[in-house]
Amino acid sequence: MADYSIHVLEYSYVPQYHKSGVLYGAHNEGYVKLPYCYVLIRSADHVALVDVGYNHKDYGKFLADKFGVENWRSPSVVLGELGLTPEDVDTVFITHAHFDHFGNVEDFPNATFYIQRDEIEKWVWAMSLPDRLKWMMIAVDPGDVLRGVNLAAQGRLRTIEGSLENVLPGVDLHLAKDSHTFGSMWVTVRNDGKAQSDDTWVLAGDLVYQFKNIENDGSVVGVDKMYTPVGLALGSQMNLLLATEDMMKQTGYDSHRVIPIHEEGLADTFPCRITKEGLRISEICLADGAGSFVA
Amino acid sequence: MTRHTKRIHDAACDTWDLPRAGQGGDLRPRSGPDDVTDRYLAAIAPAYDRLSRVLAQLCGIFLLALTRDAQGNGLHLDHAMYGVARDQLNEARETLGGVPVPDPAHRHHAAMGQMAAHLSDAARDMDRMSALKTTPDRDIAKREILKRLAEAQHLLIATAEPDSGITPVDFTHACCNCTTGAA
Repeated sequence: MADYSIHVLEYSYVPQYHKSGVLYGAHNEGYVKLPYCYVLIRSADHVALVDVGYNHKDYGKFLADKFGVENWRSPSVVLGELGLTPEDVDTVFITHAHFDHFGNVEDFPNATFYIQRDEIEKWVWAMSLPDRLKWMMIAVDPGDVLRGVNLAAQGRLRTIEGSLENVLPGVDLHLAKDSHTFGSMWVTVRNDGKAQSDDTWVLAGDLVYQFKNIENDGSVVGVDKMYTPVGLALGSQMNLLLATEDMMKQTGYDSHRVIPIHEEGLADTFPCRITKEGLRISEICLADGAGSFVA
Repeated sequence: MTRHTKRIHDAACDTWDLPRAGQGGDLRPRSGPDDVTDRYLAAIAPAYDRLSRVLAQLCGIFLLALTRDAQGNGLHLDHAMYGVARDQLNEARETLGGVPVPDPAHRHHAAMGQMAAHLSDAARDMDRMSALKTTPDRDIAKREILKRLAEAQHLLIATAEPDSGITPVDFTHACCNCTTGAA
């Protein structure tokens, strides 16, 4: 029995991202494509997203000109490929407050949003630090926090502290404190609805960028495979690795059930298709009775 | 000093058509790029950064207060960072007041002053709101604070000069700062 269909939806990408940003320590190893995606979790009763991407109106030209982010498409276009509109989305889980994950909340007028309280608390603290510590304030847009306030004023933003089980039936939220960001979060889908699930999917946010973060060559330390953190840890690499271990444990150490959203290689593992806009849809799993959107 | 390729928005630019922007009547047409404007941008950058931070702080503190309020514990403005934000706002206003303003930058400078004023009003109203007892009064106060914060954010975008490093978001180490062509 599977309650949810899960799709990773690409909404933009960077053609050449330095590999050391993806994989800690991979200096001078060239560039990889970095897809920008959000994740759709859909059941008979709910349409949920993990993250919402960024708002092209505010950032698009700047990002395109400065950093080569290409082919941004709106949620209407991206979700339209699966027969949905942004208005259909009832729940959004924000994994962290970076602009490319939290930057487009306005496009989802009927959704209730969830974010870790630690994420907001510590960003506020970081904003008070002297310039020499400004590195801690990267990639957060005051405008996004303002949009978060508007959501809160409408009663559509819930801040949570730590883990929260069954936020939707069979869907749990988990805190990875002081890791990629201050209060990064991952989402666990127990797709059979059981407390001890045999069908668990972990949606990793930016705690894992690519499968290499889970299964990197470990020969340098005399092992076959080892976890290797992503290139950006506002907290610590140790906390990233410990979060990876927790995520892997939830899946019974099946690395392909920890889903990274910046992974071009999803195409090698899951059914997928490229839309007419040139963006990938990866079909992670299907709910019982649901039809494929990539066949 | 680095010579910038993009300058302050022209006085006739639609960017300035913002709520309450440019009502002082002291704004003059720009006269084009020059070292004076470069110096102004360099001098104003710390104040811009400070105001950007204060906006994020006030938004974050208000968000935390509102979400806690929604859980039934009442609106508490006891976050330690509230005092820090007000201190930073005062510092930014002092910097703004001390910067020599060349003719082309008068409108830019006025908009930054308005941004600081909105933030100051929002901070004051947040403080007052925590003492309000009735729901209607609090709803009115909430709307006014949101309006102030939104106007400040509009002005933050309007006064950004990305080519001079004056931008509300630091993308330097973001997921996108990665192309071979990136500086």
